[in-house]
Amino acid sequence: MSVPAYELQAVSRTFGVGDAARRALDAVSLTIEAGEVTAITGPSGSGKSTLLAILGALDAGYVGRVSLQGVDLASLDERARARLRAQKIGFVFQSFHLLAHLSVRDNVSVPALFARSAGDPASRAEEVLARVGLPGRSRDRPDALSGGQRQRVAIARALFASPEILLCDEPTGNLDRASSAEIVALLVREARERGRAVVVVTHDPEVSSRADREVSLRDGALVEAA
Amino acid sequence: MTPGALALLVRRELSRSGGALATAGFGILAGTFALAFFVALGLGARAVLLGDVFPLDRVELEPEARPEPGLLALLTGRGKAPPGIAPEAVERLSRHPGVAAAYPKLKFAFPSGAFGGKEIIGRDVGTHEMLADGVAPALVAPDIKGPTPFEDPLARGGAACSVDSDCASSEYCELPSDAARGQCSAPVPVIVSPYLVEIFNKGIAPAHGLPQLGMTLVTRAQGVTFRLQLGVSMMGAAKRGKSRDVKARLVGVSRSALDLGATLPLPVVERWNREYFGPEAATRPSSLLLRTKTAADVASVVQAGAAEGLVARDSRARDVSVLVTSTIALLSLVAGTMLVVGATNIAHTFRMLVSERRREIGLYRALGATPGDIRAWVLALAVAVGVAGGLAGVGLARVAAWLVDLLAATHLPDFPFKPASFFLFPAWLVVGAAAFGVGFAVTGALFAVRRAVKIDPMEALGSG
Ligand SMILES: Nc1ncnc2c1ncn2[C@@H]1O[C@H](COP(=O)(O)OP(=O)(O)O)[C@@H](O)[C@H]1O
Ligand SMILES: [Mg+2]
Repeated sequence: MSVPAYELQAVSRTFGVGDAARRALDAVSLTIEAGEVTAITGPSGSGKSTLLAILGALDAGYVGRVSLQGVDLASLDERARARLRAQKIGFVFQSFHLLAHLSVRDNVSVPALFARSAGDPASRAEEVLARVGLPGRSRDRPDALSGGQRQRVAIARALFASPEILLCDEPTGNLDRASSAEIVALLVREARERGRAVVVVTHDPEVSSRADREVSLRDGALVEAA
Repeated sequence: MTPGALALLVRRELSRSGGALATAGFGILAGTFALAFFVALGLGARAVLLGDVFPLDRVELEPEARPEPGLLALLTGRGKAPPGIAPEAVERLSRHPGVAAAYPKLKFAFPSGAFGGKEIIGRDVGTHEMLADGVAPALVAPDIKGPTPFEDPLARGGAACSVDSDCASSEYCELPSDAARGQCSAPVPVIVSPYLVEIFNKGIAPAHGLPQLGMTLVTRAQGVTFRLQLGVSMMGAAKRGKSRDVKARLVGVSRSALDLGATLPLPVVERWNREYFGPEAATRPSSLLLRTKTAADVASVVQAGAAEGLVARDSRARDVSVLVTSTIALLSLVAGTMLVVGATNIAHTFRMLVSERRREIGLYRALGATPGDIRAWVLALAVAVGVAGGLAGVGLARVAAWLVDLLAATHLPDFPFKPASFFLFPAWLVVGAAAFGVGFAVTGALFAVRRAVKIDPMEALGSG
């Protein structure tokens, strides 16, 4: 078996200091495998987004140990974490975060601005757009698309640099059932066919039921699930 | 981030928020405009005033004016030092380390008049009361454009004579008062100041219906000959010698000439002063023109002159320099205030911009942008606004200067030393003013840059 995508040992995260201190994550230990869809569930405020930010190397203020493909994230400085995000991690958000002033294609190729990518960004964008089932829409503006289509664009953007890890925060939170099902199918396919580690934070039981594994959080701590 | 990517980001931002950025850049434009315009005007004024009117790298020293001697001193003949500067003082001052060259000047120590000009202005004009002096030919040589040298005509010798008709028609007989025989002499070369030419052209000629004297006409081959009357004027006759007429020729225009008078080669004036006043009027220069190595040396040279009992004849150059410099400084302060206001505008706009782009910046960070990339982005945007505002400001200043010059040329009456342009835009000013614009734009944006860099991507992207 290859190195796991993530290994977390006793990871805690506290926001604020003194009386205002609030523990958002509490001694979370966890392994996330490549090629699998891992669902992270739990009530609002239980620490799901906090965990995702740590996995995404966006938040270095934790204690404990997080390694990504065997590399301790704490050993990386700001630049190295940025490079890691550019090369290995794709993000998908609940509210898509598409840039309204750019075409679909330019949205998808935004990662090319911050990382040296081989090849032409425009043709790579067409490639990933075809992969998420949106060929021929590259000249449109995001606001000409439906919610489901927008999330596909966001996924195409996340796939632009062929990352080994996809981190998705409530990717279906703003979508209807049919669109949700399509998006989940897309994410599952990326894990199966490309061997990516897909982490999906979700409230939606439909989504977690399609995952290979479900991790539940309550008040920042893991609740062992089936 | 590659420069290409940075340029793309800046271009996208410019096309997206061009309006707001143009508004923000307007203050920079106005400030840069004012800075470039005022400084160029000051430099132009200084160039005209100090280059043509009051040169700065030279100083003319003369004996301090003494109070009138008392009656007793007059009666006893004591306490009356001979006029002029002692030759030893001339010697000492010309060896001063700040002095590049020393040129003694000698005023006519006797009355004189001048009449002529028929060849170029159609009729003789002249004055019964002429001011004149002599300067070392070396001082004037660079200013002589015509073929006639500025030197003592007798230096080349001449046939013996007793009346003018003994000589060639272009010459005259230089026959000193107490001599039995004279020497044929070419007309004595005379130069006048550009100031006098300007006064004649802009003041006297229009008033008397005379044609203006073109500089080329004045300096052209053979020049203008006229008659000098030595030893007598409206005010009376010389102390000694007989009054006589000599021929003179205008051979050039020089800043070294007397402002309102005629200037001759020094050896000629020495001879005539001896003839009409006495030997002491030939050996003691009435003033000493010192060309300094740099303008900064003037002060120490003036000080050395003071030790010899000499004072600067004219402090106008320094007064003008100080006046122009302080005016430039004052107007630059105004421009600086405008730039500060411009920077405040920029600060405000960029603060808005960054808070509007909060999510976008968070997204960029998630997609691999470093804080340095974000800093580069916002700074580059500020530089773009600053460069655009700065260049537009300098460009507008040049256009405005051109307009002012055009209006001055067509609407202002001629006045002495009216320049073709009132402005001077050296390369350093163009680059410097634009750089000031960029500097203020960037300074204004710095606070927003800090905020942009500090944006926490996790927070900015929200729970979505
Ligand atoms: N940047 C932050 N500053 C302070 N508190 C935070 C911050 N981010 C999250 N929290 C707190 O940590 C807890 C977990 O939040 P979060 O991870 O967003 O929960 P979830 O995504 O499961 O709803 C919440 O109580 C939230 O208020
Ligand atoms: Mg959340």
